[in-house]
Amino acid sequence: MKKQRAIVCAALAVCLAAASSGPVHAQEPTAPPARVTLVQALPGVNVDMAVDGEPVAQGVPLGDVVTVPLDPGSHELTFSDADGEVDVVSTLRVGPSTRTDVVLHLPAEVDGDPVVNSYRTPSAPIGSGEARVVLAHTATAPPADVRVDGQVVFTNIANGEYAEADVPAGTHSVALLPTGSADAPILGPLEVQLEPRTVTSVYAYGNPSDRSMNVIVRVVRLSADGVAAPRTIETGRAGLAGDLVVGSRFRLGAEARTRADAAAVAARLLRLLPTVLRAVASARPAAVLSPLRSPDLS
Amino acid sequence: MIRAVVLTAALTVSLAVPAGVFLDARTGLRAEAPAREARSLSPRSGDAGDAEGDALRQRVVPARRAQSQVVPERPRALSLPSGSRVTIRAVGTARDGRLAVPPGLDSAGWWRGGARVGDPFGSVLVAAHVDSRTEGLGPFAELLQVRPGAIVTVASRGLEQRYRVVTFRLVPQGDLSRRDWIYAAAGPHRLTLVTCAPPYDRTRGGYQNLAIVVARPLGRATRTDS
Repeated sequence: MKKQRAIVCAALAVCLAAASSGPVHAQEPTAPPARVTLVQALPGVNVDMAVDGEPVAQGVPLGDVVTVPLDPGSHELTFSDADGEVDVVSTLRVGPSTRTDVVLHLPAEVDGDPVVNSYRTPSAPIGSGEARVVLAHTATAPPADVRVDGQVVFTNIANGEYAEADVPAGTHSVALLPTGSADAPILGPLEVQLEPRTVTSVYAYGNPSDRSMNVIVRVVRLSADGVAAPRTIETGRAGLAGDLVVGSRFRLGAEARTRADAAAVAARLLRLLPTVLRAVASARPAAVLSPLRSPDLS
Repeated sequence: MIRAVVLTAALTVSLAVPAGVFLDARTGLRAEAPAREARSLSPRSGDAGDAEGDALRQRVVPARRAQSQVVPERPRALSLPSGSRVTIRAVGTARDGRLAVPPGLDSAGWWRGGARVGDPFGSVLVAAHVDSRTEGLGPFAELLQVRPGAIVTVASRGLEQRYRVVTFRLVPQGDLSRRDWIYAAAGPHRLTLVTCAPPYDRTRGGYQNLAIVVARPLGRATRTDS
């Protein structure tokens, strides 16, 4: 690998102050620290990491992470290696109580200098049965689409960008494809297990041209949003819709085709027979029974 | 073909190792041990005076959200097939498990724990009263005779999503915990509209059924605020 005299070519400050705390430079010694995780996504090197001049890790290989608590404010991060191929100095600003991943990775261009991007972990509470996933493009690859369980869920994510969604917890099949293409995936499909009430951050790295694409995965627990599922829904009392014929435009035939189970429909009809007979017996002149009615009383 | 299999196998193996390492965000990180060693780095690092090592003091770039990605938003209004427009309020569940549908006919209730406009999966659950004693039949009454393929449009603060009605089901009034498809986060993104349905029996608590109309998205949610 040629010498990577790395310069971080970024321009924006990260200002992650919590909502209640105002400007970041209001530094109180007792403010809760930020949790910063340094993610080593540079292939082929072992990286030494330092924060504010103090070493925090030596020889960190690709895929490993180092978590450090940092006081709110500005900090200098240094990434280097024993061969002098990596020399990155960058300034990070963090607010209290935030969780951030700081990822050292390659840009989209082959032989480009390493870059450092920060990804704040979205820590808002979440419902039971759900999981959050953050997918970050930190690979030497063009913009990509993300397919989850066969469905394109994110599109056109470029190097340095990410996409985020709340999805059902459980096992999902995830693949990265070149944007807008149905060609072979550049990564995956991978089976990813998403535990309920967690956020999983996935950093895709490598280069599809030499089949070195892979992922670094971080999982953090989330708190519950405290919203309970409804057990009952009560929506009406005056009885004014009592005589309406309902669902009559949904033909039984169509439903049988959809469910591919005509026998189930027939059985349902038989169960309905007593209800129908009672209704006929007590029907007022205005009530009309549509033969196409298909109430589901299962 | 074989290459794809080998690639998948290799990726599966290498995914398994890092994921196991990172599962505990607090302590279970393999690199934490060397992180505590106090070995000083080469003096060139971070030394502003050295011409070769004079790295520009730049800021860490906050990663950008992919531009094409829609940020989900809670629904605020919907237009029924007739064109009739109904305001939507976010509602929760009472302690007894009852969905807190807004009283009267002015607004429908969207369950706060359900899917939002722009979420990739799950049920967007919206319920409203079919009638009221003081105001008569409400806008949701038209759902009782909705056609398959009818269009319902849902708007949030900055998004709009069209849906196409695909199914109509009648479900007995009562405990819905076995019918979690009505509100589940799992499954394809869908709009689930709920209102009361006949038969009506005043001696047995009123409407005996719920009408559940499910509509699937037509295309993607579009931005209305740009």
